[in-house]
Amino acid sequence: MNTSRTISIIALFTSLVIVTNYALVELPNVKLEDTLVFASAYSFGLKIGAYVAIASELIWGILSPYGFGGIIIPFLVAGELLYVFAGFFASKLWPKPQKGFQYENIFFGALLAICAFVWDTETNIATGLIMMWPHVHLLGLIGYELTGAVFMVFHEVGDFVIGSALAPILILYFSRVFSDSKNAQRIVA
Amino acid sequence: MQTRTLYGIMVVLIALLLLSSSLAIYYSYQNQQLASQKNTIQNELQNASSKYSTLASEYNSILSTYNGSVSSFKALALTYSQASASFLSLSKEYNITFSLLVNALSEMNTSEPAYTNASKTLTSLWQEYTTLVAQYKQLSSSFQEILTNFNRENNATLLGNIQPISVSLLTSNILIDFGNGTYHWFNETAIQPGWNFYVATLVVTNGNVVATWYPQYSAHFVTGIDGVFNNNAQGEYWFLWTWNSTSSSWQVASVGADQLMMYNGSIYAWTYCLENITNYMPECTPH
Repeated sequence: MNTSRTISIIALFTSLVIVTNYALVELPNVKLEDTLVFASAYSFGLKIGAYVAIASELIWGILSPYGFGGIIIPFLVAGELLYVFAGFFASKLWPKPQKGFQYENIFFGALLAICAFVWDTETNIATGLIMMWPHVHLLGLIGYELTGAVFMVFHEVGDFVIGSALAPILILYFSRVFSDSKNAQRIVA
Repeated sequence: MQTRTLYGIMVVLIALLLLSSSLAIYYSYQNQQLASQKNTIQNELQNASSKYSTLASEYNSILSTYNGSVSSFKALALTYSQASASFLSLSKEYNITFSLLVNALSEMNTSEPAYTNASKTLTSLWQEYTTLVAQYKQLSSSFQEILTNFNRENNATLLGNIQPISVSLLTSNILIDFGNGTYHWFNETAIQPGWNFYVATLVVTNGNVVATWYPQYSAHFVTGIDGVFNNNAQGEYWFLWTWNSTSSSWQVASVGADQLMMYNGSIYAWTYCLENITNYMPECTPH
């Protein structure tokens, strides 16, 4: 059992996520977290990706410079798990990149952008539910969706660009470090 | 084309579609916000325009009322000026009439019936004139007050051609002492320039003066005032006095009533008392 290695990989990715989140805090909704979670799931499988997503989102939700997330945290975690599933299914659908820069990289970026759209929709609806509870109505939810539209655009564009550029590099790097993808996936505890 | 590539292209297309949708949602939201702001601003502008119209209408109404007030006031001022001019003309005619009447009375034979009528007419005419003067003074005072208030409230100066006429009359103080403790002061009696004390006595007693005219002396010898006559048997006569303001005392007049001229602030007196048979001086002094 490579529990220690599993834990260290999870810790590594989680710390990378938190550090890069703090570094990019000035840019609203532009984070490396999504790409890192996607890359971890692509490289090491569903379980490690899920652990990374849950741990990073929990820590960020509690220690965020924007303040304690409160009741929205479970929705953030659920949204982040989308990237895990996306990464896992991408690993099954597309082979690992052979080069850092190739045209298939935009597939990763596009997938991350789709995940970002769904993530934003889900969190905006969650925000509307929390703010209007128990007097929830559709128009109010649409209102919350509209007010978050500008951040949605930033998130999607950011994930598309960073995902296209960074995700293949991360996946390539980890694949070389762990020699092949099969070994990397056996690390799962 | 490989299936993986096909899936990849589909994913890219879906991502582009979602990105476009996000941009469309964002654009639509911004457009709605701007439209809402525009409507709000339009409503505010309409309200402001409506309020402006109301204010402008009220202003025009007030301005019209003000102009009307100014116009009315100017008409009032014109009327006042005309009234003042009429009064001035009337006053001049009165003065001319009085002068003629006074001159006539001063030299008329007192035994003639015309003298008695004229002396009584003089009094009534003079009273009418002084009443008219008092009324004009009141009118002038009221108009000046209106003018002052109007100028103050409207921050304007509307003195233009309005020239109030000075109508102050000369006044004098006359005492008639009947010698038995009864005396009558005629204080601040209105007089006309050119009057002598005889004429003034006629006016204040409503013509109840009995006198003999001596044309060679151009003087009247007063023998009775208000029904009290000289009494040769008792040696009681009417004596004429003047007030000496320097010594603050009465002095027996050295001239007759026709030679004593009235002036503003003059003080004269008649006393009825005994005559000193030695020096023919009165044995009394006015109260």
